[in-house]
Formats: sequence, C-alpha cells, structure tokens
Amino acid sequence: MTSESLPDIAPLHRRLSGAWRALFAPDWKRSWPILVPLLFLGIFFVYPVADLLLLSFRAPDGALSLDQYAKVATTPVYSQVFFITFKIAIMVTVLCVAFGYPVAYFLANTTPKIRGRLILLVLVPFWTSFLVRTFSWMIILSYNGPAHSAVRFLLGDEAKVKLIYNMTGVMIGTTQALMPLAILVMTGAMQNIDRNLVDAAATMGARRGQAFWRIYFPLSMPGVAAAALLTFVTSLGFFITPALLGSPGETMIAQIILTQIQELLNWRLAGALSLILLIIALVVFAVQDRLIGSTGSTQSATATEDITALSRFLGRIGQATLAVPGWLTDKVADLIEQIRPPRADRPVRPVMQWVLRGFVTLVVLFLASPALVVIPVSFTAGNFIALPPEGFSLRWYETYLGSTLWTQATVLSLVIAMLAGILTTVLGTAAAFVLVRRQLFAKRLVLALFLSPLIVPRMVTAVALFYLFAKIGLIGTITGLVIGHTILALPYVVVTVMSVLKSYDVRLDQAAATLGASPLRVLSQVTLPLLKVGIISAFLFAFVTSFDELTIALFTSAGTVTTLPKAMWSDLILQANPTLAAVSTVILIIATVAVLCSEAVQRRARRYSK
Amino acid sequence: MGLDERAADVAAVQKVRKLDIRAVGKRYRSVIAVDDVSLEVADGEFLTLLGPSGSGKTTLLSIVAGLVLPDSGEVHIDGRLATYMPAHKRDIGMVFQNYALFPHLSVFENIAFPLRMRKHREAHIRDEVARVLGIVELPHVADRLPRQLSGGQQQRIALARCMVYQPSITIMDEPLGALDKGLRDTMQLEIKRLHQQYGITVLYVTHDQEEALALSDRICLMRDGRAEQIAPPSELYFAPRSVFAASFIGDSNLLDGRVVSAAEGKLVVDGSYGRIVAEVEETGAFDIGDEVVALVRPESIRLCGSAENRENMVSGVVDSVLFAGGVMNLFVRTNDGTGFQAKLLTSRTTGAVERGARVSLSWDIRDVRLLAPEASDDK
Repeated sequence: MTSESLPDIAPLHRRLSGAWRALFAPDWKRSWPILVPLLFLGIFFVYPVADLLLLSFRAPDGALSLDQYAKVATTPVYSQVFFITFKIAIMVTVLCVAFGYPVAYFLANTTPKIRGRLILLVLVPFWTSFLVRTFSWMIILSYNGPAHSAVRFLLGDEAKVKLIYNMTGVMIGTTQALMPLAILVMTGAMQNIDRNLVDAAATMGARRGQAFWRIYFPLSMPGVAAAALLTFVTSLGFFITPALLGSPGETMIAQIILTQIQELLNWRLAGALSLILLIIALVVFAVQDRLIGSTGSTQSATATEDITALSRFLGRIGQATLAVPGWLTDKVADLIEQIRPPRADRPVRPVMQWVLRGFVTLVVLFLASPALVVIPVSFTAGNFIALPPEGFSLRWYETYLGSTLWTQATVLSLVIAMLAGILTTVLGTAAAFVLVRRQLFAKRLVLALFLSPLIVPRMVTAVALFYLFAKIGLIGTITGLVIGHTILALPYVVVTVMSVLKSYDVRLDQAAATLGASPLRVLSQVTLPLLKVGIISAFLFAFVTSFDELTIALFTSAGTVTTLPKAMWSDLILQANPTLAAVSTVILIIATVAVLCSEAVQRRARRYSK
Repeated sequence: MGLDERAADVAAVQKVRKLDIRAVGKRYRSVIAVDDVSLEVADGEFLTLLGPSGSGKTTLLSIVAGLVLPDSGEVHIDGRLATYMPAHKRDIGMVFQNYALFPHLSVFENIAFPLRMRKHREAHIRDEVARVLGIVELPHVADRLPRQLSGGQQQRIALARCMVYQPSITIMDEPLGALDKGLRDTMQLEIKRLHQQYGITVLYVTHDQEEALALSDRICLMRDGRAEQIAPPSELYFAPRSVFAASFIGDSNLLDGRVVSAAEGKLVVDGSYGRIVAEVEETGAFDIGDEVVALVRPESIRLCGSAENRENMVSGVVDSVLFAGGVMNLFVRTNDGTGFQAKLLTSRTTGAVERGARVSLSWDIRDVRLLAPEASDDK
C-alpha cells in the first residue's frame, strides 16, 4: 500500500525514498516466499521472451538490424495475415459479446442455484480439451456430417452453403472456444449491479425496456469492455481452429510463427512476428485501460473510478445514443400495449422472460453439447468417422489401447499434468500469500508480472521456451514440459488463491495465535485447512490446463516424450480417424472426473460456510 | 388509549383512501411470506410496517410497489385496482434502503429521471428539479455524481427524486437503515417535516421500533406474514393486543398468572410472585380460572416502602443496577425467582440503590394490561 497509494503528483524524491524504505522494510524480508516463483518466472518466462524479441533485432553477425521488420512490412503475405488475424479477432469478439450478453444477463439475475448449475454447463467447453472440441466441430461440420445434412434438408440439395474449411468454420469453432470467457467476465460484472436500480427505475415510471437501456446497460459496460478485451487478445493468438476448421485463406499470425519455426527454423522472423503480436496485445490493453479505467476488473462495475473529461464526454454521447434504443423499445411496448393493454386484475404473461430463456438454452447447448459427438463416433464399427455411427464396436478402443504411442502419450500427459499441477500450486500459493498478506514494493508490477503469461500470446511463450530449451537441452524432456505448463497455469492459480485469501478473515489466524498456536501451527491447522477448497480448485485448474496444453508441447515434445494433445494434433492435421474419437472420449472422461472432483470439494466446503 | 385512536379513525373515514390492501397473500414454495393481510392508508397518512426480519413487511411493500406479484387478494392505489399493474404504471414513489441512486447519472439526471419517463418538457424538468433540490436543502449538488455525496445527502436526493413527481404514495423501505445513529435522528426529523409540510402519503418499513413510534400516524405490526395489530403508536405501546406486540415494542414485564376474581372493573391475578390487580374496561374478556399474562411497563413501576400497603406490590432483592444517565434500570428478583425490571428517572438527589438490597416495587392498577398467553406451539 505504501508505494501505490501515493498520488502521482507526489514529488519524485518522496516517492523514491518511499520505495527505498519499502525495499528494506522488515516486510520485504518476510516476503521471501515470493522470491522462488519470481525467480522461476524470471528464468523461464521473462528472460526467454526478452531473448527471443531481442533476437529479431540482431543480424546473424550480431549487429543491430531491422531487416526482419522490413521483410514483414514489405511482404504482402504478412500484412494480409495480420489483416485476417485482426478481422477474425474482431468478428469473434463481437459474436462472443453479443451472444454472451443475454446469457450473462440471465446468469447474473437468476437464483444462485440455477446460476451455479448453468455456469457449470457454460464452463464445460472451458474444461473439455480444446482439441477435442475442434475435432468435434470437424465431425459436425464435415461435408457428410449432420450440419450440412440439416442445411440440405432445409434449403434443398443444391444449396451452396459451406460450413467448414472457410471463415464460417473458424468463426464457429473460435466463438465456442471463447464465449465462456466472455460470459464469465460479464456475469461477474453484472452481479455487482444493484437490482434495486432497475426496480427503482420501474417505480418511477420506466418501462422494462427503458430501465434496461438507460440504467442496466450503461452500468454493464465496464464488464462488456473487459470481456471484449480478453476475447480479442486471446483470439489474436489462435492457431488450432484456423488450421483445422479454416482454409489457407484464414491463416492467422500464430500459424505463420509456427511455420517459421517448425519448417524454416527462422528464429529471427518468428521473433519479429512475436514482438508485433505482443505489442498489439499490450496496446489493446493500454487503450482499454485509458478508456474504461479498469483493465479486466470485474469489481468496479458501478461507475468508473475517475471521471476524466474524456470519459465524461464519452458518457454524454453514450447516454444520448442509448436514448435511441430506449425510445425504440418504448414505442414497441406502446404498440403492444395498444393491442393488449396491461390488466390490473391478472398477471401479465412474461413473454420476454421466455424469449430470454429460450435464447440462453440455445447458447448453452451450443457451448456444452458439441464435444459429446465424439462419444457415439468412437463406438462406430465402420472404417471412417461417421455420424450417426455405423453399428457398434469397441474396435477403436482396442486400437487405442493396443498402440504404445497412444498409451504412452496418455500416461505421460497424466504424469506431466500432475507434476505441473503440484508445482504451479506450490509456487502460485506462495506468491498469492505474499501478494495479499504483505506490504510489497511495486506490488502491482509484481502482480502484473504473474498475470503476464495470460497476456503474452501462448505461441510467443512457446517459441521463446523452445529457443531456451534448445540451448540448455530440455527439449523432449518431462522437466521441460512441466516448466512450460507451470508458466501457463501460474496466473490462474495466483488469481484463484488470491481471491480466496482476500475473503479470508485474518482475525481467525490472530485468534489462533492468541490461543497459543505457533505461526507454523496457525498455517497448518487453521489457514490451510480453511483455504483447502480454493487451493484444490487451483490445482485442478492447473492440472486441466496442462493436460490440454498443445502449444508448448508442439515444440518441446520429441520422440517418446510426446503428450496426448501433441499426438492428437499430429493425427488431426494428417487425417482424422475414429481412433481419435476414442482418445477424445478418454480425455472427456478424465476432464469430467476433474470437474466433478472440484464440484464435490466445493460442495463439502459449503457445509462450513452456513 | 381512546382519544387519539378515535381521532385517527375519524380522520381515516373523512379522507380518501390512497392505498387499499385487501386480503393479500403471497407464498414462496413452502414459506408463507404474506398471509391474508388487509390494510388501508388514508391520504396524507404515515403508516409504518413494523416487524422482525422475515415477518413479511418487505414482501408486502414490494407487492404494493408492483415488484412482486401476490398470489391472492387485491391492491387498490388511489381508488384504482392495481393488483397486477406493472410497476411503471402505478404512480408510486419508492425510497430504497441503499437509496438506489443511479451511479452513472448526475444528481440532476437522477431527479429528472421520473419526469423524463413521463415525457415532461425540458424547461419544466429544470424548474421542478431545482424546486425539490430546494426543498431538501441541497440546491448546489445538481452536477455531482451520487458517490460524491455523503450518506445523508444521498438520502435527501433519494427523497427529492420521489417528491419531484408527486406520486400517490411514497414507499420507504428502511430508508435510514444505512445511516449511523446521529444522522438517523436528523433524517427522522427531516422525513417527518417533509411528510407534514407537503402532506405526502407514506408507507414506511422498518424493524426499528423507536423509529416507527416517532414517525408514524399508525403502525402495522407484522409477524409471520400476518398483521398482528394495526394501531396508532401510543395505543400499540400502552394497549398491545398480544404478548408478541407487548414484547416487541418497548421493554416489558410479562407475568404469568391465573384469574382468581373479577369484580367492579377489576381483575385479580395470582402468580408465583404474588398477586396483581388490574383495572379493565370490560370484565368479560377473561373468566375466573383463565391463564393470563400481565403486562407492566418498567417505567410504571415505582419503589415504595415495605410498610406501605398497595394493591400491586412485590418485594425482592436487587440483582443488578444499570445506570443509563436519565434513567436507571433496576433488575429485581422476587423470592420465587421471577425477575422484574423497573425503569426509574434519576436525579442527583436520588439515593443510589445497591445490588443485593431488599426493595419493594409497586404500580398502579391502571398500568396493568392483561393478555392471552401465546399458544405454546408458536415460537
């Protein structure tokens, strides 16, 4: 608090002396547990990423050179790929926010019980492997698959609608992948909007439509902005969906980086492209931070913190703009009331409620059900992927279990996920403890550092680690994969444990101490048991993140040390076959077990809280 | 009782009914939130729904506001049926516990909101907002955002936002709940002033009995979704109709006993602590042998010499003495173990009463009210 609560206009010397004091304050010595995760992040994330980026400026002879950037600027194919990447990211963001908004609205305003169940469903795609989902879309959207059959049934046999290997396919896959994120962020923000405000507007004479557009919608904007930002930045780094569901016309920047490394081993160009991608991500964050004032924060949904002249101006425009849909819905409501006037003697049928529920059901089905198609497909007796399957057999499970490649990959992935889960939980919990409990110099900077693996596109991290691992011989090792996965899962663990710690009542520790418990016993018998649920969820999240991870595995896997996603990917880009459906089903089962474990743990914990 | 109740009755008949709640009921699954409540509010009246949390007062209020729909019964506002009328067509005003000021709109826009919804002209809106800002004595805050105001100021703006469109009824849901003690007293006076000066009709909800007593023309005491008693404050205090009403409002000595004789407007009750004589208006309410509960308010009890001979007198040992400035609370235990509380005015010359001292307590026969005991299956 000491350093960050100082106003910006504080004289420099005062701020410096404050920093100096904070650095040598006793609390800094008590903050040592954060040094281990910091060091880990420094060696395996900050250093390699910086190294890769610097590499792009170095000519083979070591001199400073901008030739790679000149190449990017002058070769039309790169600018085209950047343009397509932007186009896809923007379209996906719009789709996720527009379709996710009603779902988030419903979730935020329903009973906690329904909300809990629906969020579990919304989260299904989050937990199920990204590759499995993309594979499912390949089955559903294939030319002989159910989606095209439906189109032909509806529009006739000569209908020229293509749903895969084009922009439509990429849109469907990417939107399904990212909408849960958008929904969760918006729901969090909307839950902070006081329902009384809408009720108050109604008592003052505002129709539901007016109350929504004039009151609810503007208050939900910070959440929408945060959701849009996260969706946009995440989709910038996508390569699986365009590669498997798109055509060369939908090549995105991450795919180009992948090719530069895997096929051409052109480190410098890959570094240059990575830097550009990273800068775009950072610029988007910065712009959002300026305009909205709260990056990714779901807390400040009710009014932004500082009214600058700019945001005041934007607010005026916003209010004027929102008067239009408000007026429109008002007119529509007027018309409906003329046809069917509201009656005081019997309740109005909540038509809009049913429309909303129907919409939410459709979106949740879109999010949760596609992955399930791999299950019937895996039991087919035929030689090819078919939906509906031809007959029933276990032959593809026999193929799966009979292949050392697949069984080895499965065991390896489980081992790596377990190790990465444990390592991430230990490092992340230590960091979270210090970040929440101790006065720390430049705390916001440290926190930003821990969250940065989320912001830096995965492809950049993966390439950078490949470069480092190649130098120190960690390619094709379990250690290398565990380190890589730990870097990626660390932000989730830090955030999860921090949020539990923030709601933890420190007086419980103080009470234990006054009752005679030593610090170690306080930690082991009071603090950790009470935080158990949060820490276990964090572990499971890290476990699933690692189990599903492909990008790092693409580079770091080699020979016998090949993870399950890497093995799947290799088969998918060559030829999809029913064995993959069997593998996918196994992955689904493992992920479901993980989700059910986390649910069970949380349900048991709820017994204490009441 | 008597005079002011009758005066209120006369006033209620003469004036128009602004709100008429007839046999309204609402249940949530197995819980009955509001159970067959009927209630009328006259023009210009200040009626308070008072009760412990979970007694159904907020549900009843929401039914009036149109935010919750009842399962049965009717609601009439200003003489018009409004049971299922959407909230925005009811012409009511509501002050929420947390004020529900729109955080993204300025104070001006907050107050202008109901006028804009009614499509008033811009010039009219400006005049009206300025007028009510004057009434709540905050003319200078129009351009601020709600969070730039103090709690008390936000409260005033919430009131102004309700007053600006002169709704038929103003509903207030624990509007002072979020304020601290000192500010609460100030705002009580302010609400009282606005009510009296502008003749607004108020339906008020609180669980704070002192607030209800201080502000209301009438109080509707709620319990388990039912209206336990509807009466002016003084009647509710001095003539509660049930043990619940007696114990919920004010401090009380509630003494179990059995009626032993009834004559000349006097009932005699015997209990383990001794004998209580009560003056009653009608003797017929209780028969000899009936179980009763006698209510004696602590401030009706006096200390007296042990040699005196009064109709109502017990003696016991002082358990504890709590000095509270203007009054002193005396807790006395009689030989059979019954506890009595007496509230005595203090002065510098009053002799101190020591813990363990033996004292005699007495009270007037007119200060005893006899009540039927609560059914034992009730909590």
